[in-house]
Amino acid sequence: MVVGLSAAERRYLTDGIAQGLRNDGRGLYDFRAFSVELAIIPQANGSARVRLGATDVITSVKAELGRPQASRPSQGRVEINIECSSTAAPQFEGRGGEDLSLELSRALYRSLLCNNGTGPAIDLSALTVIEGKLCWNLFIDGLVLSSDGNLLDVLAIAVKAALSNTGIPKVEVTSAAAAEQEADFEISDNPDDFSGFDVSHVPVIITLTKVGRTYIVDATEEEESQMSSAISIAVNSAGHVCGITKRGGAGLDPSVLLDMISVAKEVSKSLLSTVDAEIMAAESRGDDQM
Amino acid sequence: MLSAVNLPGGIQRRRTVIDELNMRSLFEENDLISAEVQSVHSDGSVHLHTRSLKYGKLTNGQLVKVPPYLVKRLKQHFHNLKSCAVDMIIGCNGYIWICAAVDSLPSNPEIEKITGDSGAPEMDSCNESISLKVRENICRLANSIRVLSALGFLIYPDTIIDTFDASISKGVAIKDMLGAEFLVMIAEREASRRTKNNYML
Repeated sequence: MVVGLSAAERRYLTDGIAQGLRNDGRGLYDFRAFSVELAIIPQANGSARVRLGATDVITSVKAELGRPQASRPSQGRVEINIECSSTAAPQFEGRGGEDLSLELSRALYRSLLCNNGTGPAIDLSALTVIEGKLCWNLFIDGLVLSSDGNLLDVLAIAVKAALSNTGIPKVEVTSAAAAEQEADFEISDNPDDFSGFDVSHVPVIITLTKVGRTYIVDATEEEESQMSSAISIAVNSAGHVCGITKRGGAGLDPSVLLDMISVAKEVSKSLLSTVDAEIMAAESRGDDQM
Repeated sequence: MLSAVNLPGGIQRRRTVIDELNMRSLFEENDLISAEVQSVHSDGSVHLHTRSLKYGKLTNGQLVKVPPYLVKRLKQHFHNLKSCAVDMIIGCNGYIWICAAVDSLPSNPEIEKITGDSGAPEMDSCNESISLKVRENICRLANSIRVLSALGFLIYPDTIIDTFDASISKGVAIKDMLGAEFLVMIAEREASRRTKNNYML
């Protein structure tokens, strides 16, 4: 939580970044260490908590049965909603966090799902039960408990972890439905009968923050306060760019933009493997406790 | 409210209203200064006092915040670490300032502005940039303090320098100092030290 930086501290920060050594000793492209916890909300279909430095977020996935959209009868729906808790930072008090919450929700939706709901992250056709009549709707909610910069990246990791933890119960259709009648169905209560998600296609988001003439990965709140612009790039395991969001008032030369995208691609490789390793470690921890 | 200023040359002058109005040219909001607390009043206002020229505006370094109860009460708050070319100010409020040692910066005798109560030593060194070696030392010290704070150990120069030396001798990179391995290593060192001295853990 940054109260305010004196002119001398700001200069120290920007000089350090220009020299390649940040205030906590990290290089320009180093991520902070993060920890993942799964299944922290037992009533949800899937949940995760991710802590990166002092940034702390919780995500949960709830699945409900509903009608699919008429234009897309063989696909379910996914909605993402992020909320910044008023206690996360002083500027979130009251309704101060609403703008940021909306921005984060839109950015995540665009990067993971794309505007019309289809996208790389989740195979929506796996959510159908009866084509045209019944489908699973996923509601992904995120809560920012504490903010020390880089919220978008952490939320993307948390969404990926929550999806990996999600179990959809099996639905048995007991009677075939005629054209307008409602189908009879039974939802299995057996926890072993749940089907999970394959999250290997879910991208991670790398936010590159431009301070002066250099860009850094995983900025703390101090560093974000000195940024001129920031680009968040969603990259999946195949190295493809799934979404780009730009923040900040300064404009960027297109060549700089292309360079930042290639940097993000490079960094995403190690981040994806770290995220997968952390999620697997969290799963085995959870299995040990059961 | 301004009581008295030290002009360069060491002359002291009583306040005038003009001085109070011109304070903004010396200090602005969000400036970081070191001072002594003279008194805390019942309405919550604090009277600060800069007794000598070593107090004043802080530049060329970074601030580390730790819980105040971890700071050991010592006679001296200003520490100079010659081997690292770094100065440290350990405040009782948990704010620890680490900066490049003043004599390691090339001095510029022409710049002798009035900076309120700080005279020659800590002047407005806008044009000084810190070498990478000194910056690395500052980062390493800052991380040593963060490690001690995370482990809940008492913070004073001996422990800080001890952690600093341990990280160098074990070849730990600065950014890895905040990772779990180094924290465990420091905790084990402290545990073995305490059992050797027969402290009750």
